[in-house]
Amino acid sequence: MLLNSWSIALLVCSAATILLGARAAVTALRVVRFWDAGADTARQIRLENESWLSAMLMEYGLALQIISLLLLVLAADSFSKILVGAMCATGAFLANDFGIPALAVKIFGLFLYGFWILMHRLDLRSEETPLTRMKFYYLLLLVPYLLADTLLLLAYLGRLQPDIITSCCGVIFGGVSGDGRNLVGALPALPLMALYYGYSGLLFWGGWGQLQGRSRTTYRYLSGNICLAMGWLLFFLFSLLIITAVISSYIYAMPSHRCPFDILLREYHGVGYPIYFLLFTSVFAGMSAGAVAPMGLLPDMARPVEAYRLRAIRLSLILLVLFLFVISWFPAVYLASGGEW
Amino acid sequence: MSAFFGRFLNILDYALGSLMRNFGKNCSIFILFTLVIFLFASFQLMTGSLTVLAEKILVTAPDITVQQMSAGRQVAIAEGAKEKLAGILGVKKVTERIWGYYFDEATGANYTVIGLTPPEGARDDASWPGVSEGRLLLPHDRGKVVVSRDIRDTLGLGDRRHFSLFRPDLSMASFETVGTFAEKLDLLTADVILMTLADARDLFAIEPGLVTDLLVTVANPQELDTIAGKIAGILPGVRVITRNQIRKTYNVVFSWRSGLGAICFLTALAAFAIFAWDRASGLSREEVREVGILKVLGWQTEDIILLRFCESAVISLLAFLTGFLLAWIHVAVFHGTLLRQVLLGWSVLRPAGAFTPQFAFADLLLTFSISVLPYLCATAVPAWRAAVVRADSVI
Repeated sequence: MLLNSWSIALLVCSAATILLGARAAVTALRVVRFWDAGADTARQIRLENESWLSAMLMEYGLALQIISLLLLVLAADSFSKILVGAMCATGAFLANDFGIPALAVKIFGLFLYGFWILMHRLDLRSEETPLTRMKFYYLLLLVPYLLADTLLLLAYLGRLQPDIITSCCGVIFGGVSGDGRNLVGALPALPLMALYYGYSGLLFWGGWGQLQGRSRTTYRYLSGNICLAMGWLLFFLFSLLIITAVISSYIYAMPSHRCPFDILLREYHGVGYPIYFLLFTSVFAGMSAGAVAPMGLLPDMARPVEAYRLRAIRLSLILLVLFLFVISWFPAVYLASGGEW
Repeated sequence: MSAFFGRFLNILDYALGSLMRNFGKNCSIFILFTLVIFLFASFQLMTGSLTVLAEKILVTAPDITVQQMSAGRQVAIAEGAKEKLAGILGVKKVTERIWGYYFDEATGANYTVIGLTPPEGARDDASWPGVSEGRLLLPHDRGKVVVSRDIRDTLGLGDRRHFSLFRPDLSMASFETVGTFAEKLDLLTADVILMTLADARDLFAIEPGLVTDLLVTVANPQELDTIAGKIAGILPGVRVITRNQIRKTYNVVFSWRSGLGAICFLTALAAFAIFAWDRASGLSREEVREVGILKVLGWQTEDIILLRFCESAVISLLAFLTGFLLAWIHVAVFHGTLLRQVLLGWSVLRPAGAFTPQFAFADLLLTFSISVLPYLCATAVPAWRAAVVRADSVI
């Protein structure tokens, strides 16, 4: 179903991202090959100038990625009106095998681009720019990721078959399974929520501990931070599950409707936007705080990395509390006004 | 944080000043971009309003429509099938319908003639919001019709109520208009002549015992698909269409048409992006001088990239808002005059004021991402090229 405004907009965004990525990759290749921080040659000056371009292009890429993620979700909602058995965006994503992978690649793309920009910013803080070569290797790794993103999107959109009245026989019973399939089945809400809040508490405690002071040994410093980053990644996946399986039903006031996408719609006052904003920013801050720690061991990087790390952890904890408050609000109001409490 | 905003505001201020200094050059970009956005947004708004309208109208469509097929074409269905359908558990009501197109040679228009049996118990004085003047049909009416204002005008009826149509054997059938459809139904009824089943059978000379299709009403919407499946099993060779399918087909057709519009728009966009790229790439001597002086004054490469970005963003956002607003006016006030033929078809009798644009964040985002983003990307590399001019190049 490529002949559709949504598909075209998504493909235009993808094409633009690929063009920007390709231009940045050309610079990356040059930097990886010829970069010499101490040199004073014309080529080095040109490379330094080009690294500005790459940084700008990656920032554009991140903005494009955020918008195209939003577009993809809204497009799926609009596709659900023309697909067999799709009641909401979930159904549209499940319409073929490529929907969910395309979405997942877009979501993780946000983090990957964000990390690149963060690395670039930290690199500029130091006179010696010790991260330059590393960040451009990283950029080159992002190119196949970008291609995969576009190919998955093409496969998803190309294989969508709209449900239309055919001239031979109107009824298309084969495909009508139309119960608006959910991403996950019904899960035991109470134990799951208890586990979730417990895990969030643990994460908060871990972050708080990191704020209190630097570990004495390098090993403990690194392992603590990497655990923290992994913890945030797990929290991200856990939160998506919780929003889908538990929280969304309370927002829709429908026990059988478990969809993480419809909460973005106007019918539900777009509550999904603050929820996802808080989730993505807190996870990005938390994860990046852990992930940048190894860079602090490089010469002349300890100060900027430490400053960023502390700021990011503080931010992630504040956003975490806000996020938990917002998602707990809906079940709380429902249970309180329903008289269950 | 305030230092960051202060810097940003200063750069934005400088960008606005810079835009005003190059007013002529920026004006041409602005006008072209506005035009491109206007066209795309008009398409989008018209499709949106048509989809919403179709949704509203289809509420009144029958749950299931049953048509007889023969050699891949629709033919008349035997009235007797009605009893078989009524026997299915869950079916509330089955109604016969005769409908077809009547080509009026005098005016060159195609009318859609619909013959239905008016429900028993309909009263003379019952008002129905779909009829603006007169009344609907009554069970025992003969030779009475309800038509749209458009058809009255096309037939040149004026204040008269009677007109005639030809039967296939060229004898005349005479009709009296007893009601006029309300204008809000125009999209649906602009070309409709509604009459009783018997009158329609007489006009088209359809043999007794045959009708065009059967309309099935189902008591429980959850059972719709199951009942449709049963009908397909009981009556071999029929086409069974559910309301949901009609709805989805309408959506697909509208989305195809707007997709087609978007493809046409893409060529315009590509041409525009090349134009913008070209404009932004050619660095004039003054521009090089300006950047050089800014660098001497202490501006960094990053600041100048931000400056160029601000310029592009201001132009494209202004063009976006203006284009979208113009498209809104075009659709809401002028009923999409420029594009309506593409979306509504080419028939002689066309609904007049069918479009009510819907305000949707999704439409805004769609238009934004397909127009503003490519423009910003097209100006990215030229912005960088301008920003890396060396300070000593002007000294």
